[in-house]
Amino acid sequence: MNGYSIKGFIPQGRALDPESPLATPFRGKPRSMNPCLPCSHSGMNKFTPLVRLGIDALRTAISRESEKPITLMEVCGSHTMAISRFGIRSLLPETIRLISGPGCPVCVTEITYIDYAIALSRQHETIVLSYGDLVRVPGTHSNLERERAGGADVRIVYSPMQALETARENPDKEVVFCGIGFETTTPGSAVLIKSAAEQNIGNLSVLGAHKTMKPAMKALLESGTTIDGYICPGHVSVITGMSMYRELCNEYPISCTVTGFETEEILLGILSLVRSIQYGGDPVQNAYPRVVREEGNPKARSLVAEVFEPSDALWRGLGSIKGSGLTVRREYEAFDAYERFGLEVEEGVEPKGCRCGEVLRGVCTPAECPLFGNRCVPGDPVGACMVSSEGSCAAWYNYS
Amino acid sequence: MCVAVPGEVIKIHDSKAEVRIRKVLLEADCALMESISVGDRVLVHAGFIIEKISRGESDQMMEDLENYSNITSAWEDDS
Amino acid sequence: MKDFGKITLAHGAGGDISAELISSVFMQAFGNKNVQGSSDSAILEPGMGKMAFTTDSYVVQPLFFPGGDIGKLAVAGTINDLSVSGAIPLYLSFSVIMEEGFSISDLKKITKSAGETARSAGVQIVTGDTKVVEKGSCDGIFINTSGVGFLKEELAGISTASRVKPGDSILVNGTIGDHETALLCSRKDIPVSSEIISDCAPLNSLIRELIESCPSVAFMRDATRGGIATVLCELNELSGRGIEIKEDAIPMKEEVSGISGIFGYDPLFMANEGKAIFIIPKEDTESALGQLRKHPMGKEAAVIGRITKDNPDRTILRTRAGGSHILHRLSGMQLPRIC
Repeated sequence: MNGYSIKGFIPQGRALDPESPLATPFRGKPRSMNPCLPCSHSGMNKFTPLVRLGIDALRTAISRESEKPITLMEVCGSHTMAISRFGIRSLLPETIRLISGPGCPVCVTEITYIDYAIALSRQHETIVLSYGDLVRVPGTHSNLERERAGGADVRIVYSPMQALETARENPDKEVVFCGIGFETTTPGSAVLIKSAAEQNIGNLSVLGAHKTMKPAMKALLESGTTIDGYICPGHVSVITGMSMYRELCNEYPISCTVTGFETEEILLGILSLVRSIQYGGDPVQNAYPRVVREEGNPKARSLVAEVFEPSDALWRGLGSIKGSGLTVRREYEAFDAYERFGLEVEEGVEPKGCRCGEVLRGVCTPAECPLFGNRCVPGDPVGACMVSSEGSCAAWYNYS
Repeated sequence: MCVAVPGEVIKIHDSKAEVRIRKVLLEADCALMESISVGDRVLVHAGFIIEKISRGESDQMMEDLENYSNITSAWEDDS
Repeated sequence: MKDFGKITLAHGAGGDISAELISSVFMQAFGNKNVQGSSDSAILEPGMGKMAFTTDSYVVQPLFFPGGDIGKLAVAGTINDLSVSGAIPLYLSFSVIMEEGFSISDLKKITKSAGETARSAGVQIVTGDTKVVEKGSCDGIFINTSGVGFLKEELAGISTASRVKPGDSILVNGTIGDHETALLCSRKDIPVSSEIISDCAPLNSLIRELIESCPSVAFMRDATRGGIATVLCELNELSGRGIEIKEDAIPMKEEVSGISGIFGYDPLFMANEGKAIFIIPKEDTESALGQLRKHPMGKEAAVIGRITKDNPDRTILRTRAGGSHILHRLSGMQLPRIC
């Protein structure tokens, strides 16, 4: 199979399979359709005129082919961000409703976790390492950024492997890495723990809040939210491969298209979903074949399976979702901060009035939350969705 | 949940690769890949190479980009 | 005893050791006819017209970065603040607070750089102060520079944006995000590197030449922390005029694009130290652009947008795709994202 072609999309010069149910049904004649996919994340200036042609072609296709109202949900922070930043909604017909689901692992990190991290940061001779925007996630009373201002040693890292260096450079201190993320990021935490074990690093642990997407995507469908199709997260899929979407589509009447992050790629994903939902055919499509393989990244998955095991997890705003979390296996418990420190913290308290849960389920828009824009703003977020710059509310605030 | 960038592997030493991302050199860990070679186009996330970008697809894309102007005329023909 | 080479609390105490430091380091680096020697104040010739006065403090880390250092930054930054108001910068103060144990050789490098930057810009450092605090009480060295300049009456409206009107063009004198990118790439704790250097530079000669050839310039502001987006949001608020810029038109180096992709930063909000936004009436745009491009610090100048009649309460970015979104001020620092 040519990973590049999507049924119904014919790369230049190749014949359309006339049996394909996704061959453009509208006009009855085959049409050449090239998804125009720039190779680099930030655009290629010399191709800008060609890229515009691609966007126009995709917009035209979507407008022509979208007949009935459908709701598409994306579950990836970068998609939330890109859709807002690129003004994608303004490029679509009114029949297509785009809603944002819980795609930002920073935003869905539960309050109690933050309180735990804060408690650790207040311990003597402890260094807490965190990804950038986790430091602003509000706990019950404070956040890691404020703790740093108050004297705690809280440092921002780009990669989990920096935790290994920090532990080596500070042998007299405890180093705790805040391990959060979905399937794209969890393998990095797994490598960290494995490396720490192999190198006998005695002062390093991971405070984990790793989550998996499939149980959450399932829970959203179970909750009664109207979702006709998922714009599936491109980079999570790099790791997981396509099988989890096949399982979902077998169980529920939805379509799933794995989608990239440039404007053209997102429009392509949307077009693929429109066709699949309206005309049928294979409900699972890969519109990001240059990096997403059918089998995903098996090595990354096996490293995760070696270090972690599935557990239930609490999603801020959504509550507990069965089997959606990962905890450190017994063999590696020396590197599990929960086991290592055994701290007790009171269960965190969700702020009153915050409608993050409904926003995350796509039930209401950020603007419909009473706190949005007044008590809850990016600089002083109340709820999960405003915290990270690509949470639904932050993206809405910044780009609408 | 995926700030991942494409780049090209310039150098490899131990289990780390130097990846060139638009004139910036980033040191990334190769632990999640079975094999990495100099010249591979890869996707990097949080300091790890998470996948190779398939060369075949990239080259085809470049070709398609250059042929793009056919598309709008195809659409216009049909209106 | 052999020269210790490090700052001690005695250097800030005002006695002989202080005086020796001032003459051997500061006077050496800044020496000019106006510099306050042993008197309490520098006595200066007043200029003509209105006086512009500004101050800024500099705490950058690392102290030495590709393309400059804290000394150059402290001088260029304050010169630029004066210049964008339409003033000719004339005199600066240069005050330092140093941590006990700070390297004197580093201090010499910093003051030499500051002196050279001032001289190259035709500005004199005429007064200053030195204090030393106990180890741990400050991060190496903090610098404050205050500056005075003079401007003609008719240019006084530039900083209030009162002349900005719909149809005016928005220009920038070159690529954005260079400074922040250079700083990120030179940090030891992050595994990125590149050849890019900071754009840190005094812009007074660029601006003077622009004003001479294009006196209709309606507004100028240098884009430092918070990037060009912050300046545009401020302009929107100050002038009450709508702003629209095109993503495609914004000059940007590949390295900046790379770093913004890696960390999830928005280049529009990344710091610069040698870039300013210029608002020029439509009819003078071409000649202003040509004038900027003639200058070494304006070679990559570009028109990035315009002042609009519609949407006066908004700063809008038109994306490459043809969509658009509103730019808001940042609420805090940009943080690197994984998502």
